[in-house]
Amino acid sequence: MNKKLKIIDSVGFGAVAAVIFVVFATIVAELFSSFKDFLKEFSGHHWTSKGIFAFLVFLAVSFLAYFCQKKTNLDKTAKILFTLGYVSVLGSLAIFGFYLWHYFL
Amino acid sequence: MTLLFQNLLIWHVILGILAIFFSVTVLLGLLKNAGLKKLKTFSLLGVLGFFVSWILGGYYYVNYYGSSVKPAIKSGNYPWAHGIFMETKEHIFLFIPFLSLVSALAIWLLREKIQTEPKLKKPLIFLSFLIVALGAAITFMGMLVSGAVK
Repeated sequence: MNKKLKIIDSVGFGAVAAVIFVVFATIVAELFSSFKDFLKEFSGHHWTSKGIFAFLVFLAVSFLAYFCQKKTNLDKTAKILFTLGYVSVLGSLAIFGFYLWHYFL
Repeated sequence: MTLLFQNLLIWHVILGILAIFFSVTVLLGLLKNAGLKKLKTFSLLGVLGFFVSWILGGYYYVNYYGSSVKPAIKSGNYPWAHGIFMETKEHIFLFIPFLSLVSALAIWLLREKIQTEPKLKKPLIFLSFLIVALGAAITFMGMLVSGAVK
């Protein structure tokens, strides 16, 4: 049971990191053209690169979290799943709010 | 638009809507204590639907939308449809496959425990609701963008 919770915790951490990465990469790329150019050059399109990097961040953080975590329990797993939900809500609002601001600016 | 891009767009929409439907089934299944087999099947179908929809829609977006649809919207009467809603949709779409993957993995690994343990059930209901809500939001944005094309 503990091992299964540990796997869920790890992918939960990975998903939180991927969501945060997408939000930051999206906003930073719009504010700094050099970063957007780097993303474009990496795969041919900035959106494709964000997807690839988000997936790599997800994998890296998931593996790291799996090997760094020692103990877990139901409370911790529940907290991580809730955190993933809250981060996704805030991330969605941040992206929408940013493009709203960016469009009218 | 070539037949390839027409098909990519159609299947992107169909699979996205199916994935949302599967996620609604998972949400209702968690709320109404449905059988584990049903939850496992629909959560897996949801993940597959979102990932394939992501890839098909992504190919269409990168190879057709940017060069043909985006300029038409930006020079039309509703440039905000791209500037606000398409930009938001394409980036929020990047979250959803991860959310559905975590949710499905929890259902597959924890099995009966998700129905008997409220500490796990509550966050999973929250995540499932969020997948449905974000999926519905980006579907609405997609409709808005389609309607803005001249």
